[in-house]
Amino acid sequence: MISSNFAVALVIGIILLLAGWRIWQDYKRPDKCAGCPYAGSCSMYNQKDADCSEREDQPDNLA
Amino acid sequence: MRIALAGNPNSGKTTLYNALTGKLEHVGNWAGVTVDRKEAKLRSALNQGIAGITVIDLPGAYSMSPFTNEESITQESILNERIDVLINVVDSTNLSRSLFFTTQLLDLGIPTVIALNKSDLTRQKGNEINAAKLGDLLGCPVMEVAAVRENDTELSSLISKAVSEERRPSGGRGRRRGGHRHHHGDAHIRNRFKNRHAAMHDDRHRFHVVKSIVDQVEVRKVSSTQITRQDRWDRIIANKYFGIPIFVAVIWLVFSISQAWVGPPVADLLGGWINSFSTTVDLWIGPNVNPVLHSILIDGIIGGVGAVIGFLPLIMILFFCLALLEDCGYMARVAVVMDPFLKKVGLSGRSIIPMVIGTGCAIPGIMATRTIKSERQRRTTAMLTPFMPCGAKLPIIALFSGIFSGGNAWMGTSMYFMGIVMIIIGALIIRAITGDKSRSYFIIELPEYRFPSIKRAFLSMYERGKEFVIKAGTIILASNVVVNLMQNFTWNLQLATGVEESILSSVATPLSLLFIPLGFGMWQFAAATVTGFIAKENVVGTLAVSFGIASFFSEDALISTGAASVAEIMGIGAVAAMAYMVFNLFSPPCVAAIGAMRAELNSNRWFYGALLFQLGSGYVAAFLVYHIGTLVTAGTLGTAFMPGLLAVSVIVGAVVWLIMKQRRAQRLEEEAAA
Repeated sequence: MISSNFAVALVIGIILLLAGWRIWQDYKRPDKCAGCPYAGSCSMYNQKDADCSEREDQPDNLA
Repeated sequence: MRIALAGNPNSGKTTLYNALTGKLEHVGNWAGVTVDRKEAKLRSALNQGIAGITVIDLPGAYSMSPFTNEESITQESILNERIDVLINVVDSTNLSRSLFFTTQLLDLGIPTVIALNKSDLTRQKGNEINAAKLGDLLGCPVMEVAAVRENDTELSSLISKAVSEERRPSGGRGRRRGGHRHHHGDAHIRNRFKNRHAAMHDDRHRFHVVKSIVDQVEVRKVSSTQITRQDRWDRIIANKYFGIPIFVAVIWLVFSISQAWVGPPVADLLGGWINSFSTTVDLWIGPNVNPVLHSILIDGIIGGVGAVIGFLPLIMILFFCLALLEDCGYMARVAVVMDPFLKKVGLSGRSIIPMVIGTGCAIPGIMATRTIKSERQRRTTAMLTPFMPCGAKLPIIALFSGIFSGGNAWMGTSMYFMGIVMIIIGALIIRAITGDKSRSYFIIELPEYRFPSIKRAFLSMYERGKEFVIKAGTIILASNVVVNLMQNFTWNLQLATGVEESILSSVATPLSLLFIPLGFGMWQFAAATVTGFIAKENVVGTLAVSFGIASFFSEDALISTGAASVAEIMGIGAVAAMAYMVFNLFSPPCVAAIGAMRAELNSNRWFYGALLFQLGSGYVAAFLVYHIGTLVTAGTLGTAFMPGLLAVSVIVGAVVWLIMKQRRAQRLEEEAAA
């Protein structure tokens, strides 16, 4: 029989895992632009599907 | 195929973009809402059987010679990206102004379709535009639309025109056709847009061309020189004397509806459900569960998150009201009313746009500073925008105003205007420190007043609510669990027998010493302030966890009735509570906003200066509120006045030293020049 302590710990673990996964998903996004000197003037900054390689106007043109 | 939407600010590009893609990007009935480029796939219902049509929404631009940063984004995107078709969104209520940009776009030779937007408003005004003739004169298809209606037949027809324009045998880049066009090569056009002097010469000719086209296609019932009903309204609403009292009354009404009249009863209901849920889970896990696990689940997760979620109705209603205000065209008038004040302190009316956006969330507010051309003004605005109470700070306002002022709407209203006052004082100080006396001029197009869209207000409210719930279920939840563990254990990882032995208490107590002169020198407040830098909602969550308050909306601690029980648990008076609120509102924002600030300031000196400035501002403001408030209400100064005065003197002294240093450098420069 599963002890009540184990069940509660399992529930807490699952909740934290889900919350952690979502935080990680959100964290990954802006991290793409971390350290980019053009982040302040980039039109794709912080965009969900931002892919710098798609840009024909590479960052140098925006400097 | 890539279709880009380009046009003047407030011509309805983002509304059309949302209608074409099914996205819910923020729209507002004023210029400058979109400051970056967005793209998404076209809705399948409209794609004419062609897979992979991408729609790109560009920031508004008046011309291809960029004046602001977001106009540069538009220019860069149009000139350098692969765009197959341009849909030029033209505000049909303002044809003559819009066509200037249209003629520039047509010169590029990119297949273009003109969407004459707001055609419903044009008809309402009794004006007529001959779309067919306009198309003939410009040499491209013209279609009347009303993006706000989201009519699929109309949108399909627009896309179909765009697709056939791109597929025409003569289509593609470099194509030139008839109409009033300037026949130049692409390279020449690109150079011309980069050379402002050459552009000015061309522009004069272009204005003549546009005027001749408008004369031929537009019949206006009311001449633009006549005084309309809207002009009469604006004489009152944007009046330099009445404008501010009207603004105060409007914001008071918004806070009354959200924080006093409609919000609290709904919050009570939600608080009751959260309480019942907590009780049910408590019964379900039974009495034999390990006390640490019990505390993490019931106090940390359900209690902490529930305490934050309890404020959801108040926040959603507030955003609903703000969306209505924005959509009816009022916010553009606020920018006009605020302009003289902001200009006097070295900012401009444009600075009000990021600040209003910042009432939702500081991050897009900080990013919206890109619309400001002057670098010093842009950086100052990015630095001061977080002083506006954002959605995450509202639970703090609602909590303390609920507990200590019986949910009076004046508390929220005063915090809103205190934010504006802090911005004005801050701007004055920054101008003195930087020594920059340059002034800028502010021109904003006042949009038509219109009945606000309830649907859009609901969508805005839903989006804000969703963001709030996601944040509560992720970062707030994780923070509350960490706070709960730190509160349950000692440094030896033994269960704390008393809360004073806990890790949390030992970490927060030294910090709380700094807050004694501000009236809230208890470790729980210090801990909540620190977790507030992760996300401002954490302040409420951490207070709930560390004080062991299950719900601020429960029957035991009814916030809306101003029950004294929560105040008693916290052990501070109304004045100290207000000082705590002021400190949390006007000290540095959350880490995400700090990150955005760093990116937009783009200078380490400005960034660290901004953080120190915000920290100093929060401390000085809280000190003044606590001691002046105590003096007024109790007739004596508050606790630890002298140490506080010393700390405040150091902060003020540092600011004065920086100003003097700047003035000395300026004087030396002037002497050298002489």
